[in-house]
Amino acid sequence: MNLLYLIGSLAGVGLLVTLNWVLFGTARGTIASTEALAAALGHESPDFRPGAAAIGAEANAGLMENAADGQVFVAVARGDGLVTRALAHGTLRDVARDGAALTLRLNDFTLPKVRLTLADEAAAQHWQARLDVEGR
Amino acid sequence: MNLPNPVSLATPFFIVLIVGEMMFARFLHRGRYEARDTATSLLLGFGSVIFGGLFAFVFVAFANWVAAWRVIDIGWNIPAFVICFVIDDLVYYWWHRISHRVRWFWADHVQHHSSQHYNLSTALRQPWTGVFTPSLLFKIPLLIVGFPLGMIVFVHGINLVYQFWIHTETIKKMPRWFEAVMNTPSHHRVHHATNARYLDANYAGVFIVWDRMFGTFVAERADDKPCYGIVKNLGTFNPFKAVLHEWVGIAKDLWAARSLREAAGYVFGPPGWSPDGSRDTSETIKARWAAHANPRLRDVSPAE
Repeated sequence: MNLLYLIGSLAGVGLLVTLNWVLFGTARGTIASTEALAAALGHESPDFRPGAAAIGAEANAGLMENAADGQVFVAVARGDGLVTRALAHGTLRDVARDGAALTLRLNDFTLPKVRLTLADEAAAQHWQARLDVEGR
Repeated sequence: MNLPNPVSLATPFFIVLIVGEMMFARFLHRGRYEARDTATSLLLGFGSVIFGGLFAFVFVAFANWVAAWRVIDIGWNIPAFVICFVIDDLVYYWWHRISHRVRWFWADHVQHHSSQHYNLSTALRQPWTGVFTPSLLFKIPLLIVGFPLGMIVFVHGINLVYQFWIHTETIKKMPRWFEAVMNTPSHHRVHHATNARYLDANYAGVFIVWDRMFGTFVAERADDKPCYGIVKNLGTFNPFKAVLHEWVGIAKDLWAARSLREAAGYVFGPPGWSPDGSRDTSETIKARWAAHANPRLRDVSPAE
């Protein structure tokens, strides 16, 4: 294995990724509605029943309760897909609020932070209080 | 005998096929590609070659040491290649099955499963940390029987090359006889899916008959489209985090373990094992799904 091989391989990776970007652009996953959020969480958790929900103003993240057991889930867009987490006890380090914006800091190596701006300050206060109790 | 590395020989074809699949997905809307996901997959493939090269001496030293106890000397001939290929594929099946059922092995293998996409670039999303698992032990049977090390490495390379083309959504089904015997895109889509009914299925490398023999075969269904990835999908495209995330999870759990039994459970138990059962394993997910799909099962306790 020589240096030329390594450089050539990395150049090949760069070209393929560039071609991918040219052909497909930067598609972004969105959470367009509570139904879409429920569908995503329903796949993650077979016994999921949609409960109270809040979608971020930029449709990039959302919170939803499982009406079956009260567990709150967060979903966040990553690339053209979604990543979900159950916000069970011990999964949250901190929930910070700035007006209607919530910042969730998770004990999660690959998803350390989720930001979402809710419809209004009252909604953000409600979810912050709830997550403070259940997720920390 | 000096044999070429099949994976190195096939790499230009891999690239051509990835470009072709991208075009196919873009213009015929069959298959999905996302640039950052593709970058992570290809960088993991690149890194696996680097790490494989750096730690090859461990494998060679171990293999030579084991081969000293070989029962017979199997020569270099075509029937030996064929038999070695078939046994290697059987060994691969068990290695793969254990890699999904024991967290120590899973910490390495999960890197391959960490994409939410299923395309030819996913095939190249290979782990970097195999040297930190006891995967080498799976080569002992072939070495003890007496197959030459070069032959074992060569047939395993062919096995890996075969598995490249099955990482695609562009091929729906192969002819029936082929689907019956060989691993195919349809069978392997099931393996990469996180749908409850598809978890822990289709571990085959080349011959799907192993899954049929050992009871792990699940057919792809038109009414349950596979969703790809892992039960707890990555929140990042950072390749280093993709490589390390399960190892970090094990380290955190070991740090918090309150007994040797708990520590052993975190390392040797199935992925998702926890002392109080509060986390999801594939069994608990499947049980919940079964109860959900069939409400009569919901109120039946395991003892019943």
